[in-house]
Amino acid sequence: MKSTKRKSIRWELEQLAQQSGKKNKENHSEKNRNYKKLGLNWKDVVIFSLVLFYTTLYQINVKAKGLDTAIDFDDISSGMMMRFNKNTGEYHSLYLANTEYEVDVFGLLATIKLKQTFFNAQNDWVTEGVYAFPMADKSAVYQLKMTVGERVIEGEIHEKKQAEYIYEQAKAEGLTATMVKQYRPNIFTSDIANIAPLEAISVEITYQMSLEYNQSYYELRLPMAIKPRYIPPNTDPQLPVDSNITDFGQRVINVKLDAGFELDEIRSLHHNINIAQDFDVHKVKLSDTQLYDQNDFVLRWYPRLEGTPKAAYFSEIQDGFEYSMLMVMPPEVTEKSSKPRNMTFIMDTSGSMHGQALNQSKDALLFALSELDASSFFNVIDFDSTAKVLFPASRKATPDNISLALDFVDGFSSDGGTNMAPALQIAMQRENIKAGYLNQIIFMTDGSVGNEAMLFDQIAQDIGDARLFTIAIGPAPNNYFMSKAAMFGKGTYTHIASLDHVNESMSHLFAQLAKPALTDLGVSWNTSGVEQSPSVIPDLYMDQPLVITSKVPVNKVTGAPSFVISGMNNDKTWSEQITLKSDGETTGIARLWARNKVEEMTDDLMLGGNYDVLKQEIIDLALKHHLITEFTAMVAVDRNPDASRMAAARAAQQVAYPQGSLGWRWNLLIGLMMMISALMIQRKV
Amino acid sequence: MNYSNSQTFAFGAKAAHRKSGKKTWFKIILATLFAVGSWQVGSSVYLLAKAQLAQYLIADAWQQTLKDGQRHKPWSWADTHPVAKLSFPSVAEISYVLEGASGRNMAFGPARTIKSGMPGDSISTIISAHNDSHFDFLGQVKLGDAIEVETLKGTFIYQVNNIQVVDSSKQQITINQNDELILTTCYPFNALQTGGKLRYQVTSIRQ
Repeated sequence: MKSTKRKSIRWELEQLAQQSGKKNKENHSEKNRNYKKLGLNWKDVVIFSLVLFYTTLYQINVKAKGLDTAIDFDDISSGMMMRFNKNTGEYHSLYLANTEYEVDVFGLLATIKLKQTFFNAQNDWVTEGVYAFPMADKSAVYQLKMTVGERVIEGEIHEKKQAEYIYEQAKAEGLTATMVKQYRPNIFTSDIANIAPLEAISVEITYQMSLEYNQSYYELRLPMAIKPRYIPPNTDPQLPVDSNITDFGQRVINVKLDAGFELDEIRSLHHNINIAQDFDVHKVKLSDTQLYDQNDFVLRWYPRLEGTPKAAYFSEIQDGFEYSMLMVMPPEVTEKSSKPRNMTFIMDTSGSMHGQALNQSKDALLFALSELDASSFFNVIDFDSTAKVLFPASRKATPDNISLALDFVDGFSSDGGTNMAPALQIAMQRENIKAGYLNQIIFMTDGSVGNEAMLFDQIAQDIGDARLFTIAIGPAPNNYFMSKAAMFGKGTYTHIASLDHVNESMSHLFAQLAKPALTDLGVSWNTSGVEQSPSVIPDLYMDQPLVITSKVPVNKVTGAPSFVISGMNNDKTWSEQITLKSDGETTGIARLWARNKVEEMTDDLMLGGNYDVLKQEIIDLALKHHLITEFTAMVAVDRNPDASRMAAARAAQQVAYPQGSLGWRWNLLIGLMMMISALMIQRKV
Repeated sequence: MNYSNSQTFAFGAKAAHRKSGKKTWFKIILATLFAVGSWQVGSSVYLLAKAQLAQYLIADAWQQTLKDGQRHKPWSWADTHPVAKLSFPSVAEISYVLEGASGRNMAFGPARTIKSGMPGDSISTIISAHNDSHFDFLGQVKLGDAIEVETLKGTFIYQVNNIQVVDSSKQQITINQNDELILTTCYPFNALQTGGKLRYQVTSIRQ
């Protein structure tokens, strides 16, 4: 914000300067004549231009006052944020001494405890520190614990406004407090108030997520870095100010893995791990605790081929409802789709793609172009701050056209911002959509954007019969954006982790694209009163499981609930009946259901649903299930410190000087000057 | 010939136009100058009037508070209330202090910073006001002068022991663990422009 606002003011000034400069040059000779023609003498001209000058000055002043001190989102390059005390020019810091992940995987569910220990290494109190950290996609954050010395304080869930109030109050009173908020769906912040000299405070949050089954493996992803996001000018939000924390980069990750089936292999994509087996449970831990890098921690486990599950089911009974999570593998599709294809490739060549990411996506794109058959149509769009398109309308994949495309792709270099909207618009407009074809848009980016909601809205509105497939490039993409964009575009999301996987992942995606999807999927239950999420089931592509969470009233008469899934597969009907049997072992399914429900309502919000109604529903659900959402936050306050601690914390606080004048004199002076000059002019006439 | 004739004709027409054009131009300029000028004067008078009149309402609210010990809003839509009465015997000035040093509150009177303490606590009390309204006399307060603060807990007397000018872009007010009164306002006094960095700070110690 800071920089863009500053830019805009500077821009204004420059514009002003240019304009007046131009006028001066052009009009210099005509000037005399001009004002004489208007019947003005030089005094009038001077007065008039003075007035103009001061009003402009005044305007600029007023605007400049609005400049705030928030940190620009673009300035954050990783999970770390620091506070530079602009008042004293002093660098005050709080160390994030340690980050600990304790992960418990049971079947399709992972429960993750993230413990961050902050240490104040100085002899002064730290009044406030704010730490922004990445959060795994699709996670339900439901517990907060703060440890101050010997005391452990449990956090409470509140509506965001109220949580902020409680926190601010506690901070002002000199109480030690923590507030955890969702800044974006995949970026959270911890605010920590009043840390004593040489004191360590631990903030532990617990969250749950469902794991994704992909191709032939399950994947656990723990994000380690926040990528800088590109936000087009005049749409940008900002992170809160006043951060105070340096990341020491020490991490511990321990995973207890109980997959529920025999495993073929466990693989970590970017980090060295140690694995120990204890009956059915595998214990995985990072071999190096001094880890600091930009790669997400990605753990994959592969079931033995014969053990690949066709369906999995977990449930939990709470307050007279059975909450369940169900995963079904649709039948294998063998034949190719009968429709010809029209593919539009969109390639992100913004600055954030520089280096490996760009090479990787070029490789992927070249692979894709080489796979096209002559009956297909295609087009390529390249964008950074602006979008450039290869052909004005999509063309047949003849060798000539392909070689034109190859040259076009070769010329890509990465710089500029990430302005996606125009590129998406071109891809979805008439010239690039062909009736009677499978219209597939392949979108390669790292998703470093800030105006997500706007883009989702655009995709949902304009996608029509086309399908959008997102391919993430680079070690730490914005998974939230990528998967959500694919969801709104009714396609799939593929993440290519490293250069070695480009061909493997791309050929899998191309196989998916060539085969018809399961469409018009529906679920019919044998009981009423079922709330299921997602309420509308998206198309399924090859190797993609159907995952639904549901809330069913417990009914002793009809017994276990059952349902029929049906869909269309290349004009053929497919259906399967499934009866649900409670496993009685899992907890947290209710929470997961609520979390998915919240996500659905948030989608509605982004697409322009009734704000007040949806907001209230989200708040109610979140408070009931203890979830941190856009509108709710958790706060923990240490209410029982000794009085001297409180007093010392309070005394260490500093307050900014309030404004010191009303400013009526200036206005009065200008006003009087203007009125007097008006009188003078009138007199002369 | 014809051609040149028509030209002179056109020229004459233009000259006639010029006169009436001149008049309308004057009218427009005069009207704009008057309008903008009176708007500027009006808004500054409004600011001043608001600042002066509000003090009467706040004084009433404070009297009521003293009577029943309850909070009273000076006007029904206010989101603040008076918490103290400040007296400066040396310069014969009195003003009523509002809770919360926000820009909005300070338009009506001196305001107490919520984070700071109250007289009687062993923590600094911070009260700020504008140097062109409620604290325009602060420059005349001298070292050793007494300042009285009346709160619900009684009347406390402070003695000025430090006066300094600080750069608010480099420094903040430090809250200390003793019963002191910190008064701040903008500096320099009588400045035309607002929004400067400098602040005038008067610190007094409880007697």
